[in-house]
Amino acid sequence: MSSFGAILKNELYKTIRRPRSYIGIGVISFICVMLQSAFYQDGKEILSFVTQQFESTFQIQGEVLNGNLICFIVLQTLIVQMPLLVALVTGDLVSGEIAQGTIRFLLTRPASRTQIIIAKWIAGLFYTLILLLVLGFFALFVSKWIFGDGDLMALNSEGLTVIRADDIQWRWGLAFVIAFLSLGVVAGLANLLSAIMDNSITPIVSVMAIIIVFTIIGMFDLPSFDLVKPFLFTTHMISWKSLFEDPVPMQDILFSCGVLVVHIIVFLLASIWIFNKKDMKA
Amino acid sequence: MSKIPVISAKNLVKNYGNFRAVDDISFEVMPGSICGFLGPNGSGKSTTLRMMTDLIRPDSGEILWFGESLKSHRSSIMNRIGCIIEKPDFYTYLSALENLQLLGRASGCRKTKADYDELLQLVGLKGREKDAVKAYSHGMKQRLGLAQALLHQPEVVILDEPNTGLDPQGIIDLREVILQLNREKGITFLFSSHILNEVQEICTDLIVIHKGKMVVQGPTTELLSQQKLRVSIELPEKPDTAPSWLGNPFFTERHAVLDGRYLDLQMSKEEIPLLLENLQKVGQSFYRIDYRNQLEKYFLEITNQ
Amino acid sequence: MKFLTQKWLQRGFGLLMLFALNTAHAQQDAKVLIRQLNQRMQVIQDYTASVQMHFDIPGVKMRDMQGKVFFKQPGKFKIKAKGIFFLPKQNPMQDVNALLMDTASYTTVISGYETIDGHDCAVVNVIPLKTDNELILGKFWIDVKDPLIYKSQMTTKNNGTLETSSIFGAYKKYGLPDALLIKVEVNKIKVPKMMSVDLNKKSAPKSDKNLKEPGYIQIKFIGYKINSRFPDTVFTDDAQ
Repeated sequence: MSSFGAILKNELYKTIRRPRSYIGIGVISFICVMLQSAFYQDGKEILSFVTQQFESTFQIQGEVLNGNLICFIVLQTLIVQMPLLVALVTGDLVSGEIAQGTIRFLLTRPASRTQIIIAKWIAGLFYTLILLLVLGFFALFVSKWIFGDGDLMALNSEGLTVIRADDIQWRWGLAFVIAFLSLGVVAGLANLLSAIMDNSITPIVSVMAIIIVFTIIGMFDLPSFDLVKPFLFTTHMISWKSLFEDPVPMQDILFSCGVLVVHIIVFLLASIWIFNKKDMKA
Repeated sequence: MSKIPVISAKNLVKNYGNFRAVDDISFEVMPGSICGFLGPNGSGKSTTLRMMTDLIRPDSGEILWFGESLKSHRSSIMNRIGCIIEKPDFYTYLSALENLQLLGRASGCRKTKADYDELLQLVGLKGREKDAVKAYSHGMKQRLGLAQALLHQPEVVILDEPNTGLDPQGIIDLREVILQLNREKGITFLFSSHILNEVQEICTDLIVIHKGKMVVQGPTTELLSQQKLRVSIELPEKPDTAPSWLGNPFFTERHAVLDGRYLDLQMSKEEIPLLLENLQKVGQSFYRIDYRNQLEKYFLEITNQ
Repeated sequence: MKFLTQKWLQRGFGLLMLFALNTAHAQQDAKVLIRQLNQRMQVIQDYTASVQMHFDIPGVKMRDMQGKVFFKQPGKFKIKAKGIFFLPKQNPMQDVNALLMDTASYTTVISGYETIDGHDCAVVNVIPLKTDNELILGKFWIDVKDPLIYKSQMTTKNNGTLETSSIFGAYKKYGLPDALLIKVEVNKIKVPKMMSVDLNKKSAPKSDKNLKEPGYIQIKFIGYKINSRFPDTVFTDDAQ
């Protein structure tokens, strides 16, 4: 009998060996380095767009341009790209094997379809985690190394919040956990669509289409959309930003985390159900 | 005989929308046999093989492997069977050896390097195992496909069109491997192919389906013995004119045709002694009498083509 | 008619004289108060103190922070703290001191008397003599019995109005406050939605009011060290 561990090991091995997996890592590294270079060159000028509102009245003391701010900006910038990079790999986990024909080998082995789809789902989450670790390394550690530590001047819809440097590590930790849950939803959705569809491009495009539509609905400041927003997972995907408010709206964040976890579970269960029902005609 | 069939398909039905791809098919494959699974394109052959391997779920009917239901004993059954369905596709970014190791892990078998070497030797890929599969020809992929099907030492192997893309030497090698494994290890093969001579050459049993329905099933010799043989007699020299004895009723009834040094007739296997007797009677000597089963003709007849 | 005209002229002249005398008296009183203030200030060559800062600025959330303040005559002033903090563009501690010391650059007048926290204060208007001065008008609420500035209001051309209130304690005799509350008029911060990417916030009803809101910075001074003669490098050194 094959163990689930062996199936999982296979999926992880394939994820590591696939050239496609390194596109995301390359893109994240590139964007981080690009933003860091831009801020290193013109950081003060870029920041003045934000701080000029205060400068008629206040002089801002202390180093605003620091590693924490760069990390915050990078995270905010990549919130748009990360789902695409996650979907690029996770949207192909099942459908790619269907398109390539290798799914026939997998499904004619002792492991059940449920085990296979769960192993693929875990591999997707593993890849997501790797992407986030790469992001964390570049965005936080490299930025701090280049720009130094300091208080974070975070920008949100209500204005500015200055988070003290000694009060920020736990926020980054939780922000990355929430980012992981958010991207876990994307990975789960991509896995689900990948189980439904028989080619590798459609699930990736579909995931992005869903995220774009939901994000646009979330961006429009219309009272009629307020009714819909709580039900869109994209609304909760950016709840990590609330960690950089003062006081931290923990109830709201926990609610968002709950919504994301529910999405992850629902997408996984739907993937298992669909994959078990699916006829492999390809 | 109380042998349990290794495969027992009972009243299988599969619809794709309004189209019935498989319509109430039942058959059995006995242990130790090499069973040819034949049918024209679109006959439901591939759908049936996919149902046998749980890639497609039947709408109704039951599949038993080793006397156990595929539905309830899937995992243990899959451990005992190997297959190539449609065409062998691999992870092209991995080497042949990595592909085998990966599939070996998925089968739950622990293999040593020597095991892999032996397998690669058997299918003729030794020395190329570290090459990426993307550099493999179709024939090489077929060989690797056979290797993966045999990886976990299965009791039954399903081969769907294994000859496709193989060169003549590859076809001969594959035939020898199948016969060797069947003979030495008692592995049962369910074998689908369009190369009917090859099927006739190695298959002990035949299953023929057409338009999703079962046409015939039985031992190859038994099925083909009901058919007229195509007998060819090699004469010592080309006669100047057609011999007068060709007009005898024995020869005319059997559609005897002289083609150079060869005389072709159609008759049943049981009539061959009678042929020898008649040749002796008319004083015609010969070098050799050869006969071939007409599987191709038989196949076309029973599938109404 | 001639008589009436003469009488009115006499009365007018009398009123004018009275006003001129009053003004001269008010100017004289204001100058005395300022001189007394300056004398008190001149005793202090430098000082350092620990500071606790509390910020209440509309659109800015910032926790309290601690730091150290450095002052040296005639007008060098710096607060050093680890981290980001906001100070008014016009530095009240620096600018008031420098302004009042330069007595030749302005004229003063007492515009009235008010009670601030139980202290009888003269409201001294400081008007720069030069028209190109950044300061338009300075108003100082100075205790007439013990000259200390309890409240100030400085209106500048470019940076609006800055208001301060001081609470004096142990270092009252040096004119150094225990606490300083700075009030600044702040433009309401507008953050583009796209920049904040704050999608989970519900849309707020639109309103045009509150374009300018008051912001407060409270600075508490603890443990003054006066005339300790620290080096000037603290004002140029960027280290926090």
